[in-house]
Amino acid sequence: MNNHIEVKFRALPENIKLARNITSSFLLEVNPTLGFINEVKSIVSEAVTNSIIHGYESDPNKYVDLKLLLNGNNIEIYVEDKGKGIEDVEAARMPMFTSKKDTERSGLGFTIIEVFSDNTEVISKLGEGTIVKCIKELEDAEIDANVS
Amino acid sequence: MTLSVKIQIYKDVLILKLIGELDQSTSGDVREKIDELSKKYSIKNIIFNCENLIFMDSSGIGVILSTYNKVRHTEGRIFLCELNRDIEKIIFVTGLNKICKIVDTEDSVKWQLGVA
Repeated sequence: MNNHIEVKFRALPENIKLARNITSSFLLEVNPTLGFINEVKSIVSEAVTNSIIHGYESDPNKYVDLKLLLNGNNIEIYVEDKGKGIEDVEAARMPMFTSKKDTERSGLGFTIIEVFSDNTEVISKLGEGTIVKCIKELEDAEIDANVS
Repeated sequence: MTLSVKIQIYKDVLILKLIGELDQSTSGDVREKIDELSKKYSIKNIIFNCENLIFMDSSGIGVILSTYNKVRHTEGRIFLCELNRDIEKIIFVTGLNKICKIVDTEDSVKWQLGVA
């Protein structure tokens, strides 16, 4: 199965849920388990939250792009913003790292993305924006389904 | 409504029943509510009942972490109960199970805390 959608939405916190719901609707055609859908939703939720809170510092006039690709046995997830970019990507990907210490953020967004993806790539340039690209194998879901 | 919270207070125990999705758009309100009630009722222990929590991301984890940081100064504890599989996965992936007590049912926590 090959399929591809792209959605552009304003950087509003309400749209994080929208992005998750679009993701689960997109995945339904490949008949995944609920656990699999939830893991992909988690990836999308974390990446979109990062774009809104960090990339755009909650400026609702900016836009986040979500791209989902079904490519044979893989689902590819792209979340892109044209925000301020990440100064040190490697540091940002460390568990408990947060650039907003005073706001009591957990600093676990990237950890969740990485645990639930088979491959995570973060491309960021200061002042230009960030792209988070994740690949997750659909096989995982099928194995789950056979077990349960 | 993305999230609704049912609140119960027994002595110094605050019970929050989370219904819906806990993410960036709802976590701020929950955090404020916990702060307000904790001060007003001198809360020591907090129970999150997750039976009807459909989704939680790191913003929700942030709420539980900051709550933990507040109650531990008074030797209070955080209890997470009635976890479904997806919520349990997020809690273990983020290590929250190391600082919170995971319990099967709300009744068993209440019994443990002497408020049943």
